[in-house]
Amino acid sequence: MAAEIRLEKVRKTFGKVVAVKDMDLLVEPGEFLVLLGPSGCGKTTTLRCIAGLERVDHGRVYIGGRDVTELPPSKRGIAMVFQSYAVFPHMTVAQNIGFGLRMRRAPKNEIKKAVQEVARLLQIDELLDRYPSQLSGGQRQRVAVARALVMRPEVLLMDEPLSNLDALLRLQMRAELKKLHREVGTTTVYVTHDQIEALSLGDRIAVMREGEIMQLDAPNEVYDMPANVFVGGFIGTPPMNFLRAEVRKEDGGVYLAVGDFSVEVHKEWQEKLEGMVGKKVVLGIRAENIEVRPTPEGGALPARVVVSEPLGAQQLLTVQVGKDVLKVATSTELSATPGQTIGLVLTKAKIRLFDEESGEALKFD
Amino acid sequence: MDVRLRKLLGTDTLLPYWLLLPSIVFIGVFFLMPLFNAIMLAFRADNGAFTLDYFKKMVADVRFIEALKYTFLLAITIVPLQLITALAMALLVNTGFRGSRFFLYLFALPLGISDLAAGLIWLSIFTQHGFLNSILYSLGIIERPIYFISYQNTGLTFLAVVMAEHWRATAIVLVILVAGLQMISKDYLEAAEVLGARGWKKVWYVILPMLKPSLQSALIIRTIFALQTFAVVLALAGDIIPVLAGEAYFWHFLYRNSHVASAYAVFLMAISIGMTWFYLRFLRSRMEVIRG
Amino acid sequence: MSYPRLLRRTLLYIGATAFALWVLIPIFLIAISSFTPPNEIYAWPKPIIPSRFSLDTMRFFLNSYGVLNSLRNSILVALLTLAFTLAVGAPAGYAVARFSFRGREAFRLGILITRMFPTALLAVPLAVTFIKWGLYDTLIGVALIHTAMALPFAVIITTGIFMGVPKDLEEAAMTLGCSRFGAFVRVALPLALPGLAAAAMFTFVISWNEVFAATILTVNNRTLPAHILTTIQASPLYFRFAGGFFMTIPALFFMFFIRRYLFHMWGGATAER
Ligand SMILES: Nc1ncnc2c1ncn2[C@@H]1O[C@H](COP(=O)(O)OP(=O)(O)OP(=O)(O)O)[C@@H](O)[C@H]1O
Ligand SMILES: [Mg+2]
Repeated sequence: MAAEIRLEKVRKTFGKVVAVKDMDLLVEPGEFLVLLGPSGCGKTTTLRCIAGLERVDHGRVYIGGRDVTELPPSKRGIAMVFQSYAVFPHMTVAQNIGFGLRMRRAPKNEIKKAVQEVARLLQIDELLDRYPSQLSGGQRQRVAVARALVMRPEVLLMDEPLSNLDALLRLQMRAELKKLHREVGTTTVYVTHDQIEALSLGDRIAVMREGEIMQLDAPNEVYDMPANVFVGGFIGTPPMNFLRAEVRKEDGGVYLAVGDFSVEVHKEWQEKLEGMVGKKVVLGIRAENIEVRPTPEGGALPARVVVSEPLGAQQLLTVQVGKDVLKVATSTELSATPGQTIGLVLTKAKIRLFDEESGEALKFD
Repeated sequence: MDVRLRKLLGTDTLLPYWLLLPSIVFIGVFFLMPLFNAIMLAFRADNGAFTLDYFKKMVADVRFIEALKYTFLLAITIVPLQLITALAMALLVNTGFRGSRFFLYLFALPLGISDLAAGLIWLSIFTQHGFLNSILYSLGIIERPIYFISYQNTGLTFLAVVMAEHWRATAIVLVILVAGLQMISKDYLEAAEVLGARGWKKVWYVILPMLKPSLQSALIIRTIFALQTFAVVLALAGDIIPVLAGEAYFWHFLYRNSHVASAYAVFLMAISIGMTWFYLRFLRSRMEVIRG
Repeated sequence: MSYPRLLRRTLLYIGATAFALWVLIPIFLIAISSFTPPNEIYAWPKPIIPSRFSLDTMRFFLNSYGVLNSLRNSILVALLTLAFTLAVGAPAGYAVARFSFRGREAFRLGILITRMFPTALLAVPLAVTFIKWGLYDTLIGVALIHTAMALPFAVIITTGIFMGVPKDLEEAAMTLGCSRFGAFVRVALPLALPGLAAAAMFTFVISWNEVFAATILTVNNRTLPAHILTTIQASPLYFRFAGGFFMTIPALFFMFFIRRYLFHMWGGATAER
C-alpha cells in the first residue's frame, strides 16, 4: 500500500522566483515526513510537484518506483488534503467522500461501504447527508481527510491541514492524525509551518528554506543537533541562542572565548578543536541548557538582564552577553530585575558549534 | 488524453492560449476586420483608389451639420443629467435603509429595456393625444394639445428625446456607481465617522473622492454610448432630430450607399476614440477608468 | 427614534419612492396603452385608465404582417447569440480566471476596450462582407455581430464567475481521479451554473434589444426590433405602443433573474482582484 516517494533534482520556478531548488528527497514507504519552513520557502510547491498539480521545470518525481513526472495527478496514486479543505460545496458529505471512488467507477454498494467505514474512522458518520455549508471547520477538515483516505492512496499529501482550526481543535486533530497514520500506514508528506506540529507528528522533518532542504532528520535530531544556524534559529520556542566565540588554547587546553570569558568545552571536542585554534565560531545553545545563577561567579558567564517575562511555571529572561542577546529560562524564584547582572552556566554536552561564515554546524567525526 | 497528444497540443503549458483562441479569432474576424473594412469603404473608391469623396459627400449633406449638432447636444445634456441622477440614486441606496435592495432593483430596471422600446414608451407620453397632454388638459393647464414632437417645435422634441434617453440609460451609470460604492471598504467610512465626518461631509470628503474612478468610467462609457444614440430618436422623433448614427442608417438603408454609411461609422468611431482619449488624457487613474 | 433620524428616514423613503415612480410610471403607461382598445388610443383627452381592458391592440400587433415571423427570428438570433457568446467567451473567461500567463493583462485590456467600442456600427462594413459570404440577411449573420457586441461582457462576467469558484476545488477533483476537463465539468461547471445562466440571459437581452445592426444586416429576415423600426413610420400608434411593450416584457423578466449579477457586467467589483 505504502509507496516511497523520490524526488530527483526537482526544480520549479515561477518567473524569477525559484520555489523549489533542485531538490533531492527520499520518503520511505509508510513514513510520515513533515515539510517545515517559514512562509514562502516552497513547501506547498514541493507538495504540489509531488501531486502533479505543478509541472516541474526539470528533475524527476518517482512514486513507488514509478516515474510519474509526466503523469497527471489522477494517475499518480496520491491523495491530497488541501489547506482550504476544498470540500465540494455542491455535494453532501457522503458524495464528497465517495467522489474519488465514483471516478474510479467502483460499484455503488462498495462505495457506500467504504464511505461509511472511513466516516466512522473519522467520526463523521452522523454527518453524511449534510452539505459542507452546514459543517464546522473541524468537521470539514475531517471530510477532507476522509475523502483522501477512502482512496487508499499510496501517498497522502497534506498541506497545512490544521492551520484553519482553533488552537484546541488543532491539538486534538493533531493527535488524531497521528493515530490515523499509525492505523493506516500510508506514506505521508505533511506541510506545516508550525514546528510543534512538525515535532510531534513527523517521523522525520525536512526543514526548508528558499526552496532547499536545510536538514532532513528525526525530530529530536533536528531539535538537538541542528545542521546549521538557520535550523537552530527556526526550531524551538525560544529558538536556539547564538554567541559569537573564538577557539583559543591555553596551557589547560582548548576553550571557547566569549568576549573576555571562557567557556569550557566537552572533553571529546578538545582535540578536534585543536586544529581550529584562532578560528571564529558561533556557539549555539538552547535556553533549557543554560543554568542561571544569581551572580556571575565561579566561572559563570556574566550576563545583563534586559527583560524578564513570567510564563507561569517559568520565567523567560532576555539577557545580553557582549553584543549577543540570549533567551534563557529559569525558575520564577530567581529575582531578575532589568539591569542586574547574572551568571550563566552552559551545559557542555549540549553546546553546538557552527562555522561563522557558512553557518553550517561543525562536524567532528 | 494520450501523453503524446497532450505534448503535441501543448495543453499543459498552452492551455490558456487554446482557451483564448476562439475569442481572439472571433474578435479578429468580427471586430478588427470590419473595423479595417469600414476604413477601407470610407476611404477607397470602387476602383480601389484612395478618395475623400465619401467624406466630402457626408459633410456636404444638409443633415450632417444638424446631426453632428444634435448628437453632441444630446451627449452634453444627457450624460451630466444621468451622472447626477444615478449618483443620487446610488447614494440613496447606499444608506442601506430597509428595502434598499428592492429599490436598487427597481432603479436598474430600464437597463434591460432597449432604446427602441424606450422611445416607443415615451412616445405614448409625448404624442399628440398622449398621456402628458391628456393630464395637462385634465388639470386645466392647457386648452389643446401641445405638439411636443413636431418640426415646428424641435426644441421640445429634443427635450422629449433627452427625457426618454435619460430615463433609459441612467441605470447603467447607477450600476457602475453602486459597484464602485460596494468596493469602498466599510473601514474607511467608519474611520471617517470616528473622525467626525457625518452625512454630507462624509459623502463629499470620503465617498465621492473614492468613487472617482467609477464616476469617470461611467462618464466615458455613457458619452460613447450617447454618441451612438439612434433608435430612441427614430422611434420618438422620426427624422425630426437627425443624429449621426441615424444618418449612417439612412445612407445605408435608404440611399444604399455603404461608402458614405461607412464614412459616418468611421467618423463616429473616431469621435468615440477621440473622446475616450480626451477623457483619459485629462482624467487621472486611467487603468481604473477603463476597468470600470 | 429621535426626531432627526425619523426625518432622515422619511426623506430617504420619499426620495426612493420618487425615483421608483419615475422609473415605473412610463412602463406602467405603455402597459396600459397596449391594453387600451385601438380607437381609444386617439381619444382626446385620453383617460389614463381606459374604459375597458382590451386585447385588441395586442392582437392587432401580433397579427400584423411580419411580426410573428420577426418575433421568431428575434428569438432564434438571441439563442444563437447566446450559444456563440458562451461557446467563445466562457473558455476565455475561464482562462483569465484560472491561469496566469503572458499576455493575460493585454487580453483583458483588449476586452475592456472592445466593451466600450461602438461595435454596432461595424454592421455597416459587415453588410458588404456578409453579402460576399452569403451571410447577409441571415439570422446567423445577425447573431454573429450580436456575439461581437456581447462577447466582452461574457468574458468579463464569466471571469468573475470562475474566479468565484476556488481553484482548489478543481485541483482536489484532479487528485481524486478527474482529468482537468473532468474536474471542470464535475466541479467548476455546476458551481458556476447560476452565474453562467445569468450571463446567458444578459447575452439574450443584448441581442433581443439590439436594433441598429439587425436592421442594417437584414432585408427580409428582420428581427422584431428591426421590423418595428423599419415599419414604424407607416404603423398606427397602437401598433407602436404594443410593440414597445412587447419588447419590454422579456427584458423585465430577465432583469429579475440576473439582478444579483448586475454588478459583474459594468462594475467589476467581483471580476477584479
Ligand atoms: N502560482 C504561483 N505563481 C507565482 N509564484 C508562486 C506561485 N506559487 C508559489 N509562488 C512563489 O513560490 C514561492 C514558494 O511558495 P509556496 O507556496 O510553495 O510557499 P510555502 O512554503 O507553501 O509558504 P506558506 O507557508 O506561506 O504556505 C513563494 O515565493 C511564492 O511567492
Ligand atoms: Mg503553503
